[in-house]
Amino acid sequence: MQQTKPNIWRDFDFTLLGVTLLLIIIGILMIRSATMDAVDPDLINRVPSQVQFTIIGMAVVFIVAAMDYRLLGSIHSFIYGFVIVILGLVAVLGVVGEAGAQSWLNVGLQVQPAELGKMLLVITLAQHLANNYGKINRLSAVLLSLAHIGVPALMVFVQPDLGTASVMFVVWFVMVWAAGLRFKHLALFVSIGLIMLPVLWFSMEEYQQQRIISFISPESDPEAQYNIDQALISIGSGGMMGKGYGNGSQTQGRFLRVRHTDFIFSVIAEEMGFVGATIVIVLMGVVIWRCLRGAAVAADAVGSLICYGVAGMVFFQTMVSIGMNLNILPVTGLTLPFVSSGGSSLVTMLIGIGLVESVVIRRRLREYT
Amino acid sequence: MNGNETLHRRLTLLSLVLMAISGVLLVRLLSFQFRMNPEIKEQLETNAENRYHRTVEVLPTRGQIYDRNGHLLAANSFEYRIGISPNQVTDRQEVARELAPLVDMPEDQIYRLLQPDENGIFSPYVLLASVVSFDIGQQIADLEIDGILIEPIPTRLYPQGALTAQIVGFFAGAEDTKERRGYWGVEGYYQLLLAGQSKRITTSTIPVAEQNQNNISTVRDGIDLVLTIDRDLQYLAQDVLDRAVEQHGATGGTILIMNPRTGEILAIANSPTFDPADFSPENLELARNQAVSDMYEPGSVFKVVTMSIALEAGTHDLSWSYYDPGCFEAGGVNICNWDRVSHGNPSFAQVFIESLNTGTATIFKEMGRTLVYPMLREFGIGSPTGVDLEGESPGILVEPGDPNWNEAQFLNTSYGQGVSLTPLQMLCAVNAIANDGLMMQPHIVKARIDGIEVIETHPSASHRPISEQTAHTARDIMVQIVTDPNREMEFEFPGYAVAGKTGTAQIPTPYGYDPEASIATFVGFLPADDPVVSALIKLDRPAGYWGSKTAAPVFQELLERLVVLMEIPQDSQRFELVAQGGDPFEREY
Repeated sequence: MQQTKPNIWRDFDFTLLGVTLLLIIIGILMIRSATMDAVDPDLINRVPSQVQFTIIGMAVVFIVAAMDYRLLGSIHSFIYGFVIVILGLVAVLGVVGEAGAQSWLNVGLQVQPAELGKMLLVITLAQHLANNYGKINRLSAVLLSLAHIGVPALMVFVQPDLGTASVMFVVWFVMVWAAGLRFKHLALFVSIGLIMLPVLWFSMEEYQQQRIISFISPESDPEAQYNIDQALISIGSGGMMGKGYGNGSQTQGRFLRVRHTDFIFSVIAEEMGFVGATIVIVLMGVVIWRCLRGAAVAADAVGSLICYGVAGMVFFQTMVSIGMNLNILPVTGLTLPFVSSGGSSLVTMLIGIGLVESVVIRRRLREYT
Repeated sequence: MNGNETLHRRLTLLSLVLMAISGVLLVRLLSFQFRMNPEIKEQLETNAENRYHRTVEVLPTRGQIYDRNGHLLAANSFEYRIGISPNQVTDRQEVARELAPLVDMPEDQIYRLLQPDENGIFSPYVLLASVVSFDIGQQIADLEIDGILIEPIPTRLYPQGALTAQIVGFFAGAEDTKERRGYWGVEGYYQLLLAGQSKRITTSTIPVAEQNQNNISTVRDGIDLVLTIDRDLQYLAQDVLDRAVEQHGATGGTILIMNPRTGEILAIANSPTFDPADFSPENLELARNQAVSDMYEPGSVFKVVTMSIALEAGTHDLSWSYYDPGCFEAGGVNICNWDRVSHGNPSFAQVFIESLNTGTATIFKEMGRTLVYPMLREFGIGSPTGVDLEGESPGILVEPGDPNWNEAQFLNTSYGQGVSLTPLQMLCAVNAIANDGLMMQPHIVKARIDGIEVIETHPSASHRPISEQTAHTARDIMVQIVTDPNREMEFEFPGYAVAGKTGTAQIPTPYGYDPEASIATFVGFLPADDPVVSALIKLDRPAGYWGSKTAAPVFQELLERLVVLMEIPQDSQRFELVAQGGDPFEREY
């Protein structure tokens, strides 16, 4: 293992940060369009709030990047404990949020511990897997890592926040798989997962079940179907170039609901057309590519796994959010990373970018130097 | 570096998986943005417009109608239209069972209406009953069924019933609320003022919709109307009329009471009358107010107009007299007195006291048509009075130049045949004589109440057909008509100076005048020297034929009770009061 170079900013990935910032700016512009002429004070504040969190998030990127991820890895037990404690606090004193889920913690400003938690778990799981690096081909090691993520994921699931819990499991899967999960174990987990589906179903809250039902048979829930109908009309009416910024009849006519978060992609597709929607997907692809590049150049397994985890998270959330807008996945309330309105989500994602930068600037030495 | 090799190998595989999934998303996006079936798109757009929105009209409160003393003549109530949004109904069977008896629809039919269509789409709105009564509507509201839509439909209550029905008119229309409006009378004439301005709001049928901001217009309630009608006087008129019609075997009739000083209509009683709660076609036929809508040939009462214009023109005065042949021929027609005998050489006043047709015809002949017709026009003959009641007739005055006009027609007009008037026009002409020659605009609305603002109707003059001098001379002759010792009139009203005139009009038919039947009329006012009230009595086809024998005693009965009700003192007492420097009528005008 080579030593890290003294000038850490030489390898800072400005492409990753630049593309991320571009997505955030696109997001702010679309949130502005989505909340134009709003009367609800919550909607009016969306743009200033997003700008504020962007500034905070940018600072966070550099702070996290400056910190050595290996240092974070070394205190992974403390971080893990912290995650369990804040999730526990939510269960005890949490504020019930808009959607009815008890997932907010009021600390001066309201934050969602589950958001922060899922990112911190990337660090702890990476360290955990790195510690058991050679043994991942054993089922016991795999199950131990599953337990590592399973406990906090369960706590999030009972909030109830199915979306974030599923993000945690997907991140676990990506990281374990990257770490060398054997195909026969993969097959085993897929089978167990399928068997567990009914159990999962009956442990779900009614509104979560309703979302799945309404995805499978839309007419049973007029409101959910309404949202989907409107999203599809928005996307369908956008065409190649879109109706123009601030001119989307679906968006400005307020037919499209929760348009600043869940359905922001529909706003983009309506007003900016196929071109705009594709640009967002491509930029998101660039972010994921730069994260995976981080995994490739990482100096060690921990760094590599962190990058895998972040990339997996960005990808999964993007896929679920866009898939929901396109009616190929059920409504989960997962946000489109960097683009959707929401401070906790944005800052969390930028912590992820900071972690990748932290790994990249401490990459293994290039052979030509 | 063994471990990192695994990491790198899997990186490639992972990238391929990610690209594959991204590909699926892009294809899906492409299929939506470029290949959306236009029909589906249209349907989705229609859904967005209609399925989730409903426009509701917020109706203003219709103005109420009062009599001059604040008695309610027309008030508001509600019926209800019952509908339901099937997508909001949870227990269809239960809802069908509960509603069936209330909306008068079989239970299974309601149940079927609550089902989605073959595509599984619920209709946003299903009509269950277009009109239910106030009580049923309240019962349905008490059931608190999810998705039920109870829309109020305004209706009218008429506390005075048939008594004021032809004055007030009625409020009705198609079952569709928007087409409900007032018809006839005040309800019809003041439809726009009474109706006010409704407001439309678009509401979302989505359970948790964002508030729509497009509701800027406001509801403007209708204006309340206070009529000049006095309910008690109206009751008196109706009572006297109904009994007179029965007693004289008449087919119908009218009693019209006005204030000649202001043009206010105090009472309009007609027979037959109209039931405002009955919407059968036969009953609706009776809704028009005969006193303003039906014209008739007034007969001899019209002679007061002849008298007035002759004096006003200066062609005749009280010293005038003529030889009465009993009958004479003019324009190929015989003009005869009622008794067809000569009355010698009657004076101007005697022509009217004895109601001599040959006299009035001679006067018209001497005046000439170029003088007569403009003066009749000045009296409002042949034009609508402009009263604020729906359905007024203008009357018919045949003038030179009209194909029906001839010399006989002209002379007939002098005693009220061949000319058609409404009872209101006739009384307004008499009112001009009573009001010192000034004809006041007849009206029925005394004040409009718009919220806290009260807009009084100020009496206004419509014509001056004759001078004050002429009016007083005509009035004196009218007093002599009812007091002349030789008169053949069943009318005695001691203590009061009354001015009046009877008339027995023949009824025109397509084959000439009906020899059997007549329309008996009496017009008059009192006190003759300072009139506060004028009245017209008209009896259709009374058994007694002659106005002097039928309408005159009815007028007497009316006056006997009217002076009590209106607190009109006898002349001698009134003169004393005036001598002491007071106004016995406490008039405001």
